[in-house]
Amino acid sequence: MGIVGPRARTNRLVTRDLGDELLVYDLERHKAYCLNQVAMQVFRHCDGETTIQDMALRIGNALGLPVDEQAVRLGLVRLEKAHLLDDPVGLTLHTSRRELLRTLGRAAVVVVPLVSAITVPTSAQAQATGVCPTLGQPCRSTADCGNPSMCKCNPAGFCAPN
Amino acid sequence: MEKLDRLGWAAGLAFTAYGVSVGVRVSDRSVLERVRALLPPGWKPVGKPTVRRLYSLIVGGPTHRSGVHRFNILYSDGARLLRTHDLEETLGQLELDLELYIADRAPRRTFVHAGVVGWNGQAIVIPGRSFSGKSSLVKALVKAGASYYSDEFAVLDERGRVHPYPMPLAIRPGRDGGPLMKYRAEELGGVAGVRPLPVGLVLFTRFVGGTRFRPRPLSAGRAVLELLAHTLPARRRPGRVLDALTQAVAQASVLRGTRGEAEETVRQILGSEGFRREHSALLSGVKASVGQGG
Repeated sequence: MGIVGPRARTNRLVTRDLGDELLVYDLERHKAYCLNQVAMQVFRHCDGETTIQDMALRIGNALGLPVDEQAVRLGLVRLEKAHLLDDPVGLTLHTSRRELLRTLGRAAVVVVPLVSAITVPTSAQAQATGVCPTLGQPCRSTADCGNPSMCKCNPAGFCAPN
Repeated sequence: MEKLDRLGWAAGLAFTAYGVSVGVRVSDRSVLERVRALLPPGWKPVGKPTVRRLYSLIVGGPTHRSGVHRFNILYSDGARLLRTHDLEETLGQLELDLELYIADRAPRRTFVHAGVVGWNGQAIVIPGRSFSGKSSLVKALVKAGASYYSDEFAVLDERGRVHPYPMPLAIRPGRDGGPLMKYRAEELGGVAGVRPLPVGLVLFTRFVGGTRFRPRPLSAGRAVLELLAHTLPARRRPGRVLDALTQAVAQASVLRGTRGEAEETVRQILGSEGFRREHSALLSGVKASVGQGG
């Protein structure tokens, strides 16, 4: 049987199930994602065999809510953008996200698939301020400027980026 | 490294902290006591000669030749970290690099850049980068009766409990700068916590003048995502880090929003009836029912 539906990526991912959310860590890109319940269900149903129509039906049954095919498509587009699908599904949404939200109305809060992402910082980035926060302040030595990896005391006696 | 090894070293020490072994050698014995004062909490001297990282500090200063001032040079293993005439700056860099290395390599702890206090048997964790105002908030919380755990790291174990990291609280006296002032909890009229605590509240907040603290709840998943941005070994050990963070937020309320003055925010967190009703999880220890936060 050939592949008829999208397939979720499994290689080099670390996942943690929080019940109604799924955390995914991409070891290749060092990005972390939080999938809400609907996005998680879409991700879980991406087995290469389930069609979008079937997904909508099964996810709707699982959540006890009517889930539109467009919502599944939106989920797939978001998962693909996050590199969480094995092959590009080449989907285009027939409606914009804004239109979809309008169509779904109040139910959108529950059934819109959300994929939140961050780029996981290196340990130095997690420790650093990112900018020199004491920029322009008078100083006698770099110790007066806080984090010496970000700031230094320049010869004129003011804190400056390192 | 071999060239460095051939230099004459006056003194040195080897220690472990959080399961990481480190050595420091100095070219001037009188500086060693100052190095000891920079070591992380709970460090213990070790006798074995092999360490995972070796810092070498060549101490500069004036020489017998007039007008000649030698540089202070700091090495981490074989790599030069800093070359400067300022010994304070050199020691500051040593402290920072040591802290970073240990936080990143500790095998059984997860270090999250955050301020932490204890309140009613639970930890209030305030993640944030340096100068986001977390130290001011920690100071105000300690003055209001919370026990001091850290203004630098939330040190999490595999169960998600927070352990104390009792370095002195570093506060800049005014927003217009000036040298850092360091306080022990007792100097602020508070006490330092000693027992590991479960997390009751995680506050993602930063100071914005003129604003009132109106935080919004975050879901557990979004909270873990935000905490990852402040977690040092996140790239090195993602699986274990995710486990520790997930455990940490499992029973916690997680709130996000800008805040005004620290004292006013603390009054809201600890004193306001409305806030207590709204975020009763902190006080009751029951997980708040939160939706997908904004």
